Amino acid sequence: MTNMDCKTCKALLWAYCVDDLEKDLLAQVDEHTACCSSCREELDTTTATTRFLHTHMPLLQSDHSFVQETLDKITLTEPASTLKPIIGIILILIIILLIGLLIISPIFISLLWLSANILFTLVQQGALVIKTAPLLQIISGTILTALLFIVLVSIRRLAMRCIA
Amino acid sequence: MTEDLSLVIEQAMTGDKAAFSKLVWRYKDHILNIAFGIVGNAQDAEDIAQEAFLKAFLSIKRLSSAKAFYRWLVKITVNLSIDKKTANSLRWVKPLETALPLAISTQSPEKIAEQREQQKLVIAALDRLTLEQRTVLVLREFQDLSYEEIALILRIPLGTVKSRINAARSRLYNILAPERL
Repeated sequence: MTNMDCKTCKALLWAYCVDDLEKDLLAQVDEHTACCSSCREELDTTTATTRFLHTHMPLLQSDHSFVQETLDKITLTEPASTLKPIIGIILILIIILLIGLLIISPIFISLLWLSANILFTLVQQGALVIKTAPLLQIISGTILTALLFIVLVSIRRLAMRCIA
Repeated sequence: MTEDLSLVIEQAMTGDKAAFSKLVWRYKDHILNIAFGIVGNAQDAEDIAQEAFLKAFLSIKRLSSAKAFYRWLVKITVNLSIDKKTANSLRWVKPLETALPLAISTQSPEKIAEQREQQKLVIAALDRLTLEQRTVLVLREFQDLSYEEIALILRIPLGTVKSRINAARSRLYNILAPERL
């Protein structure tokens, strides 16, 4: 009988079967199983079990279409060429300059004046209506809001056209 | 690693798509089977493998050296597989008949059916392991990665890798040995 006890030997049997033991341990298991019938029996079961696992573990094999699909996905998500930081900074400066020019231009000032006048008139009229009755307050408030929205949208469109 | 392979990886690291496609050809089955071993579903494994290659391509420029490529690719795959498996278990996704790879058509229907039953038995046994045990077992048992490599990939101590593998083997033995007999 060897120095190895049955408990230790049984714990090493799987590793023994899949050739995952160091030489000295391998020799000790060999030695022990040669003279221990219980461990030898366990070794047979373990050998059959590991063989079963390795034989019946499904093995996937991909074909050409897998590679093609993968490469297609890569092409689709390939990052677009990024701008160099210096170009980005120059672009931002140009945009700021353009906005500044637009703000000081006569078109912008006249538009601002027009929209402020319209808003002022509307708010004044709305304040008169609000004083009359609670139901009217809600209705007039809604109409006024809608009107304000329309006016603002119109101003935005007008401004966009001017910029274009 | 051969010099040719290192060269291909280095070319891929410069963004060369042709070189990267060679790497896809080389590692596709390894990656597919790692994913399959962890998630246990052929369709999911294919999706994971494709995503892993995609992620690898998009960030290959950040790779420190060509030698680390395979380990890095496996790491991406393992992370994606673990995420998928966790998401599936949260959604209670049950394995389907079609989840296994298709059998070779030259075999008799009885043989194919028997083979399928045995494959299901193996997958069911793997499903009864914890995700940590299953991951290390797949990498060691079916992909032949060394304990050290597994420890590096999963960023866990070597002792933990060994104990997880032993626990997984012991549990598999307890599941498979009585079922098979």
